Amino acid sequence: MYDYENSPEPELIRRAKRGDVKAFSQLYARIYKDLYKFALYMTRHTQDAEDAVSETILSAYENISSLRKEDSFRSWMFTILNNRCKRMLRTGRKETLQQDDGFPSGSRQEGHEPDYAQWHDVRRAFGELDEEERMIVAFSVFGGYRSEEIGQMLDKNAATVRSKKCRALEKMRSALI
Amino acid sequence: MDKNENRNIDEREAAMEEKLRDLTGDTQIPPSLEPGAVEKMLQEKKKEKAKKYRWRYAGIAAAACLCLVVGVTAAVTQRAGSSGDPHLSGSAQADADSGETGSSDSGGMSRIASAKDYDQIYAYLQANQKQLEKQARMYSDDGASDTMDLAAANSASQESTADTGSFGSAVSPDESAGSSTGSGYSDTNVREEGIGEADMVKTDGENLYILNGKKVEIVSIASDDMQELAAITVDEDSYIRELYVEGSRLAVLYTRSEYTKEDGFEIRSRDYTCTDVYDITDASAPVKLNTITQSGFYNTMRVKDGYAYVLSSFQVEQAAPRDDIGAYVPSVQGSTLDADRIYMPESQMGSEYTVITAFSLAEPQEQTDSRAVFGNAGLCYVSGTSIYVTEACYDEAQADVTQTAIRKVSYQDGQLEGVAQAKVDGTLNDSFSIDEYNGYLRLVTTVESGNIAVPINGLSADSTEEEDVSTNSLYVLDEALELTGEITDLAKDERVYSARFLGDTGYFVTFRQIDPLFSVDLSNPAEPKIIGELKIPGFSEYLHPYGEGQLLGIGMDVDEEGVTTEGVKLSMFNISDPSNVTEASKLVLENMYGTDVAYNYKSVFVDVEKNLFGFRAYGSQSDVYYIFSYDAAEGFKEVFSREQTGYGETRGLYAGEKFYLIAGNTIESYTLAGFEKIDDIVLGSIEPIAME
Repeated sequence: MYDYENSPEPELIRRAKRGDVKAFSQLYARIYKDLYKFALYMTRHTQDAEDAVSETILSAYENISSLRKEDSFRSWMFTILNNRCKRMLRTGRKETLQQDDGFPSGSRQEGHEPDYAQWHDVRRAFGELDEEERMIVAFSVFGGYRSEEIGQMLDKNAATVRSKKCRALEKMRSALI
Repeated sequence: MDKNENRNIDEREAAMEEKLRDLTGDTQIPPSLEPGAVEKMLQEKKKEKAKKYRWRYAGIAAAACLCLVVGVTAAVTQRAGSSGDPHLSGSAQADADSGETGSSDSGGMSRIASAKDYDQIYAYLQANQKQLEKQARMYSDDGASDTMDLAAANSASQESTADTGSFGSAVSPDESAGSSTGSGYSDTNVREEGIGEADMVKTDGENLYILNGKKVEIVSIASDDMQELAAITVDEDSYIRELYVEGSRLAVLYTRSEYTKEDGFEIRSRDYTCTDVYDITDASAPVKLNTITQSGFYNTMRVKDGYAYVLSSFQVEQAAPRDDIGAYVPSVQGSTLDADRIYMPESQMGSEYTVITAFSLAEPQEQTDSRAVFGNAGLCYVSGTSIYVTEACYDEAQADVTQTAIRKVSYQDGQLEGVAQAKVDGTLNDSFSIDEYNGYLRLVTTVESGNIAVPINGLSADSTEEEDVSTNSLYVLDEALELTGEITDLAKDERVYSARFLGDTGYFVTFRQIDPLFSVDLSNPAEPKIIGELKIPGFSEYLHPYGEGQLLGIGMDVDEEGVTTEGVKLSMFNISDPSNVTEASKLVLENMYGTDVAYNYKSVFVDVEKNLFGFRAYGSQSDVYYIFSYDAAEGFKEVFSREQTGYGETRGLYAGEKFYLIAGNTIESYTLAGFEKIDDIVLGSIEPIAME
């Protein structure tokens, strides 16, 4: 039995590329919480976030063969996810309806009621930001990206990203107090 | 701002980020996204995929089986009739007349068929769609409903492939003794010697041409002080993928997305691959000559004899209405391709095209030819005369293993012509596993049972036992893609990790616990023979001929149990006697956990004449770009290393007496003799030239 849990990422990627679902799932298991949180605060809607992550998983699984070595699985997933979220925001899907009520209405999450008060605070804080600021903060907080890396993805220089992030975090700080 | 203030801000930011992580720490993750559920969902998907292929072929199973037998018999007969003649296949090729249309249901296995008309394409598309719907229903039965929405997944995959890079990867060169062309500068490490390939950085000895985000920058390296000359950009919603430079021409290859709006909402996008061709006679003032546009996102490109061949992947839109031809038939320069230029899949189902467009770089006013290969796009390999489009397929009725379908389109002076198609057992590792030499196509594949175990519970521990049954095969096909020779059942339970065909000899590495490097004698195409098997720890992910009798391997060192990798490993194999290959020398970079070499051969810098090779390796602390030389007596010697920060790729190249290291928007120059730093420059100070 292959030791998936202790396997190094390159070996898991190699296996996943050859269709090994367990290897793929192990790679995913290492980052899924951050993926979901990233999507949640980007889209500000639980159903959209769930959809975005699901679509990202399927897309990634189908296209794992195109994962280049210079991209880690983590950053590759975040790149795909970011595109999904942007697409959702661009098509105006649901967001306008959900400005004030970002909670799941259906019964999907029975037994998994989120902490409403806390979610409310953080959501309010993220609500202070525009899309680009949300993206920068989400990449930084949940993706663990450095400003230089975010800059390369957004085609901005690192200093611009740093100052935008600084401003965004200040806005959030005042929203959270 | 003084240093303290800076630090305070950094600390405040770090604290704020920490607080946000804290506050979101117990965010509830939807059950459907828990790893166990995801694993189960993917297993189901895999199972459905297998079922899909089974269903797909059910109707034509008998006929297909028969064809296979006939094909093999014919090959055997032919082989017997002309044994020892390496050019036995000339007549067979003439036989494969691609001009004949709509012959897919009656033609021989090796005949390539073009579409009768768009109706036939639409029928194939509907068959595919029906299958997808059936899958979707099965998912929703399972209670997973919209997360399994395959249409959505499909559009997602289209997008992500375009966004994330080398689709299935590219294709080809060979016994290049290195990238040295005898000129005073290095070219991209290409798959097939003599066939040009685009990359993120090119040089013509006078300038560097660099892909930097949404711009292509031209930097003069005429003097010690590098100087930005010009920048070129593309329009919004476009992503530059690669660039190519030859003589007075610069080609910029990018994917452009067009959004269709309905009721003010952007409801869908269509992707186009565009090639902007510039005249760079005056590198400081590039002049755009034309844009060649074709459907689909960019896959790869090749250049031979002044003609460019651009390959894109066009995914048909799900549920396309019959009268919206543009949704399911690819177009080039605004015109949909005629049916007889579209090659149809044997499976009679399809959802994706590989679109091939040829044009002259000197006179890019219009394309010289274009074709499309319909089916499921996959890895492409381009030899000196042909483009091979492959795809993996599984059909239980025909074989209980995953197979690779190959379609061959010949090219010359900007003209394209479908030649033949075939199927072999197993799947390809990368484009080095498929190689043409003297008219013969040689493939090394890993053959896996299509019998995919599905655990009742997604987390069941013993589910992998059945999944890992694999063997490896080598096939030799003639010019008409008839099977000429084969070796099967090699290296049980192992997989091909790298391969390199050098003339009459092939080398490939399989791996499970140790690294057998196999040598194959291919001098008689009808009787390929394994002549050597070297077992050493670890595995090579990339093989490159390194001068007379030497083969360089770049890969990973692995502990004795074959579980953990212990660093990046360089091996120099002595192949002067292919039947007795030895590992002459090795070096392990202990703190490095991988390189980009295996996934993108273009990232390797190799120049055998100058005895230098370089690549970027990934460390736990940071990445490092290394350059090594090799000496038979002293082994590998590190001559240069430079820490790499940030994201993305690094390229190394030389021009004249200088070595250039390009990463992101930074270029550094060094002396080639001793790797002393000369200059550096950060790109971005020049505004792109105006778009028309």
